[in-house]
Amino acid sequence: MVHLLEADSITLNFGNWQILSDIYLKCETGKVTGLLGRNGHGKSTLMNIIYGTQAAKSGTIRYNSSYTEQVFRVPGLAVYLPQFNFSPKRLTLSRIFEDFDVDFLEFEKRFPEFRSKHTNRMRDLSGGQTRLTETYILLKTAAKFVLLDEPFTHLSPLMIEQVQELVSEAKKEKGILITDHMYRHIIDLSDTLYLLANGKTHLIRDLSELEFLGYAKL
Amino acid sequence: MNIVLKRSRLLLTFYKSYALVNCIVSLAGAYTLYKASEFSTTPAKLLPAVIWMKIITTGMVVYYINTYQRKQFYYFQNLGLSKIFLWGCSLAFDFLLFTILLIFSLC
Repeated sequence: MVHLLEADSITLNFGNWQILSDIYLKCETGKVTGLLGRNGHGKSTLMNIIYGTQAAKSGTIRYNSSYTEQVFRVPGLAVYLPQFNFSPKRLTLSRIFEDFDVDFLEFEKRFPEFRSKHTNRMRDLSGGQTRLTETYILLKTAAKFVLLDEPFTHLSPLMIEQVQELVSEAKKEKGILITDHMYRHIIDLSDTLYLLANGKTHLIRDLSELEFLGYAKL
Repeated sequence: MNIVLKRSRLLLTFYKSYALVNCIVSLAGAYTLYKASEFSTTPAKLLPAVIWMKIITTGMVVYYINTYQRKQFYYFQNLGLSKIFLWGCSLAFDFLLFTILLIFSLC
């Protein structure tokens, strides 16, 4: 069964500055939905609104056509990777994997550089290792939707490839909404692509539209 | 793991992020009342001041965590615990400890 998470008619302004106006975005299980946009155009804000950690001025978030006020409060519905590291630095890797019910042995097998590091605290990891660990955990949870805000930050090219593989595997069971400034990776990964420009989402059907809307020179 | 146990452990993890400061304030308040009871027959007169000290420092701690450690809230939200739930439960526990300490210090 395909599950749908939709943001509809979302508007938000800070004073006179209209950040988002009449946004529509649809994310469905089995697909990767890419969200592109220039700095400060509201991509992270939109993700926070979808996740329920920021209020919009108006608009609705719907899960399978039902209004959902705060997505993160619905058990097993969605998890969110913000654009910064979010795990408490004093926690050990094994504790974090246990909290999210994710198998550390499988992780260790896939990423040998983490072998025997289950007792390490998050603060002992490098920026790239932290990002990789958090992205892996969220993609392996039982949540139906995963919102990834700049998952490639701090990652080496090899790690980026590994995260791309993880996303492609995870989409078989989940819906993934992903944004990053490494737009070529997002284009490669996405089944559906939106561009956030001038406060509106534009569904991209042809890549030339990215150039037309002033986002990138392809 | 049982969901109640898991949530309790997560709450304890969150509480630990500010427990040290709040416990020191609670102990200082209780110690003040204990010492006052040695020198005065009406130590309870100091009670409002001690309670206000606790409330004000707690307010400062809440502001500090919400401002400078706000990133960690995503960890708990990804595990289904809202900010209100975290603060509500952990502060209730903290004030319970504070009350118990005050009662002991006045006995």
